[in-house]
Amino acid sequence: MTNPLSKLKGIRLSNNERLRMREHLALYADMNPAFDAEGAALPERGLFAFFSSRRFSLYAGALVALLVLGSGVTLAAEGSAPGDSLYALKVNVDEPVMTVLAATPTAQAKVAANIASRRIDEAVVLARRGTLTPERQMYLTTEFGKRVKIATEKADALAANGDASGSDTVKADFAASLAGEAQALGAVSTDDTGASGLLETVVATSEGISDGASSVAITQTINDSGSNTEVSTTGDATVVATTFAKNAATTTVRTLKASGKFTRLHFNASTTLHAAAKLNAASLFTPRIDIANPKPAEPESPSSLTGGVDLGN
Amino acid sequence: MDQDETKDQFLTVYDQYADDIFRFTVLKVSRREIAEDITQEVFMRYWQQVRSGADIGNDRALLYTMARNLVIDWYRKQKDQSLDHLTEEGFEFANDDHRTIEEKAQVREVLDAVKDLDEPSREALTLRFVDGMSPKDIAAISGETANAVSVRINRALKKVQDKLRIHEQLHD
Repeated sequence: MTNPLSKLKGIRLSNNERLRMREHLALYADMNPAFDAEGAALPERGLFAFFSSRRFSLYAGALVALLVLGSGVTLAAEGSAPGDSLYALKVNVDEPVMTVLAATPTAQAKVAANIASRRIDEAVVLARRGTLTPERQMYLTTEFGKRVKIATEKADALAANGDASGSDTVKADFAASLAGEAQALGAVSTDDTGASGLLETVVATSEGISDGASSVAITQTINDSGSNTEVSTTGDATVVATTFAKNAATTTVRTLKASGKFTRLHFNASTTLHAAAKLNAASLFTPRIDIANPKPAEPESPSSLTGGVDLGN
Repeated sequence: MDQDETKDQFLTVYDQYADDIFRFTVLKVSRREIAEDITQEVFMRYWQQVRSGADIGNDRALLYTMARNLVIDWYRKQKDQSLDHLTEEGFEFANDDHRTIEEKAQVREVLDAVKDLDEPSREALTLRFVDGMSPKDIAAISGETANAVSVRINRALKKVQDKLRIHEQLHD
């Protein structure tokens, strides 16, 4: 019998995959130049050759900014928001580089989702500073919408190419992430901060991405000067409840408690017990949530078992 | 050597080993997209070694070792991934892969023959007979002795040949 395993040489990158990865790696090498023995960057063949190369003309803005400013500055730009001096670097350099280096459709969908979430983070930052003007909210809402469109198109393309599981995972993760973003935005959303419009958009987007699989409602009751405002987010039961409990619980719930505005956090999910177990593991509440006897369903939502915790405010 | 020469050499190494690293990875992680991501990460890390002027020695061994380590990291984050996914759902050829149906069927047939091997045996067998590595080179990557690698390869090859013979008899 001839070597049967030679048939496995048939497992390889396609021409397009190989070329695309090569382009990415070439760009990566350009952005991280080699050093000589003294730690100085090696020279290019010549400035003329560099500036007239096709790659430079494609990524000119990004390359020049990085060469001039250095990678440490892009790190500092990460936390910037509209109006900050480094914000242009963040959206015109960092984010295009992130996009270019995403080699696969899944990675591209995740990068788009990540950049969408960044716009909401920036809204939270601005709202806390008291500088979320209507113009900035309009800008962030528009940019958020653009990235959501890209992320969902990429996720849909995965399903169209036979990777329904991958598509569902990307969407569920994105919807859960947005549910967490909504929590953070809700915490700073008042009539004065101007974030309520964007908050409605984020909530609606999260519902839309998860196709309204709203067996979960995480509801915050804000009791501020006697008036009650309810903000709710919905999403996939397991993912939102688990993600909320694992990730947002240790950050968002602390934020909610510390704000003094929230009196109660409701869980309305088939995985209430799971979420409660995770929150107990995070030791956020004293006394610990009674997993065996969660609160009975609220009158207005009789269809599901509701768990809830008082936040002590 | 200037930056462009260094980069050209790096891309030459990529051209030579990209398919090998991809194949090595996809046989372990079972998903084409994951294998692509890991392959790109391997070459990015390889560039970091090249740009720093490190004395690499054996490019090929370094690439395989990096791929192996990244796969191990990936496994740690997964719950339940196995080669069964690769064969039960059918290996995913790229959309622009224009080989014949018969050629693709032959690949799947061999994949089915190797999937029941334990992971170290599958790795050693494919490195030997697909990538052409010597038992000594394989030992440098896997951490076993060259002798242990040779024994493993011979046993695994017999199992694969037996399975393929059965397949031939069933389809005659």
